[in-house]
Amino acid sequence: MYRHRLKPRPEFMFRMLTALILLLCGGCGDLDHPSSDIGADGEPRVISLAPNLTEMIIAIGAGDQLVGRSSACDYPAAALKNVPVVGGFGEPSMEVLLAQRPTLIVDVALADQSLQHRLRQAGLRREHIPCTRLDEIPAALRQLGRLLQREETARTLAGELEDELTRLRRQSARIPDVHRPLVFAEVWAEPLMTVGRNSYISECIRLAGGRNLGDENDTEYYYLSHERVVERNPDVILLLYMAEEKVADRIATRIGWESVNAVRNRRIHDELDPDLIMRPGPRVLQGIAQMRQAIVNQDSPAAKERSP
Amino acid sequence: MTVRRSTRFFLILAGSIPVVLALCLLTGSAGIPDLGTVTGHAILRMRLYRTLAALVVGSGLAASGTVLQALLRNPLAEPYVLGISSGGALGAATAILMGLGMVSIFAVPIAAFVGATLTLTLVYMLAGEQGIPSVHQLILSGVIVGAVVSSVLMFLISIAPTRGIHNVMWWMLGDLTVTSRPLLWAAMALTGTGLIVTWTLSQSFNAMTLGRDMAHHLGVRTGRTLLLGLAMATLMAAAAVSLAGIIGFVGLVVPHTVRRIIGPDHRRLIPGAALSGGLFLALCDTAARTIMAPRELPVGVMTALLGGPFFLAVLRRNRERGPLT
Repeated sequence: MYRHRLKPRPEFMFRMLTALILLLCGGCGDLDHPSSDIGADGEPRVISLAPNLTEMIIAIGAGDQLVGRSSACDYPAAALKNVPVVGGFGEPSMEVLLAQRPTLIVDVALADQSLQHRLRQAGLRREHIPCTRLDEIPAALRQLGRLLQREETARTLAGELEDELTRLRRQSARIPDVHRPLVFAEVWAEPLMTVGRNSYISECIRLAGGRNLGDENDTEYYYLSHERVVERNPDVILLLYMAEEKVADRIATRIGWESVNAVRNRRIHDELDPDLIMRPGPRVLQGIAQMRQAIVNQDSPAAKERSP
Repeated sequence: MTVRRSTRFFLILAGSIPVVLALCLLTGSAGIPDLGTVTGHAILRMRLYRTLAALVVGSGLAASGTVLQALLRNPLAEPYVLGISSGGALGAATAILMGLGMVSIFAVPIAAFVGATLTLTLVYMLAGEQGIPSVHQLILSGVIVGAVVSSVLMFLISIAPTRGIHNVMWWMLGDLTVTSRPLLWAAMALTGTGLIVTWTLSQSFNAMTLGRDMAHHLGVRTGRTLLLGLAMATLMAAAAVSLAGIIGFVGLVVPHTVRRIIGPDHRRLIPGAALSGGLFLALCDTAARTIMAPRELPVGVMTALLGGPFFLAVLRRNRERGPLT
């Protein structure tokens, strides 16, 4: 759920909460210095505050070092069953977090910047691992491999991912823009939100043979008007959120959208797994594959281009 | 003087309707729509519905504010003060977080409506344990109930999953995109009813602004006027909230501005405020969707940014001329 850091949040409430947490933790921080708590075998005790990093940690075989996760970290479920939840995505509860005696915290973004100082005060190492571009995913795998002493596995995994991305890029470069369907990636319905040029999802759409409608905006995610979507007239609509049944039908009844190509040709796709696409993690290639199935019409020139 | 001034005001208002409508329909991220194409037709249709929604919501909020200011004899009265808006937001948030929005497209608006109405009923009951509540008691219990309702809302947000928060925030920012036609028609009917009923009560409102005792001696059935007025103000505010979420400032600024210009007679004030409120919100919405196009700004930001300075200017000009009311 990478729209997370963009959503408007109740700032005031959050500051109050932070102040409260600070009050509660201020005194107890010095009593038991968690920094001295290296696991018995000298391996770090890591807490992941982002679902994609959790997936990576499991993928490189460092699941045994994971002592905490965010509530958004839900995959792979079997491996995470016994890993306690320490708070929300990027916003842990300091008390629960400290109780796990971690030595390393990894995150893609913290909900509150003061958290960084509090983690440092508690003597914890915090690694910020951004994943906003596709190329940062293999890099993140390698970094986690170094931090968690699983370099070998991580390097192999990252290498495979990079090779596949290179192959996809080469393949995609052969498709001229005129043969690419215009894709509207709906990240959220109310308010209407999509991905901009600086999102790795925009890269994914391109690799999947499409053209992202949101590329006209150079942010990661942004709100836009219904009018703009109707005006640009996308050929394909991808719904990137968990939706109930028939949401595709509901989109077809939106005022004005009946003129959109994707609606007229029934190319609204709500069958994609949002977790595969919205998480820049080890499963991102599956996400791209799902997108390609949705985007590339089998008898379009782009499809012929792909199968020489 | 006042009569001439208000006639001029209504003439200007009437004259500006086509201008505002043209502005609303012809501007937007897509520019002037090309009616030769299907897309152009679709865009024009979308803008038409959106403008209609702005007119309904804006006039409802402004009229609601006017009535509340008269009944409560308090310049700060508006749908927010009596907790109506927060109640509506709480209803909507509960429905969203329970996942009712996915069950039916009407679930959230209806919940907002129920929340707003229940809140006002609660405020009214708390304020007047014996018979008809006093104005001070009403405002006091309204502020307190509103604060409690807001905290419950904050509580819900703090325990909600990220996805839910997103939808709730949308409610709290306000958005005039019409998601279903029947909802628009329903809001229009409710607002229309509220406008007509409150306009017929304008004489009583005029008396009520003098104080309840005075109104009573003038032959006004004060209890009935108070209850009916509050009910209609809630009806209009709730219709607005359920159609477009919470949009602040319109209910406060528009009635005051219009009162400064045409005077405090509710026979003219109610239609004047309703008309100006509708046009004002339509303009704000057009600005919100064009200024940073194709990005869209929350319309509540525009109502505050455009309404605030304008209101201050009117206040200042009046102070120089001497008080009108």
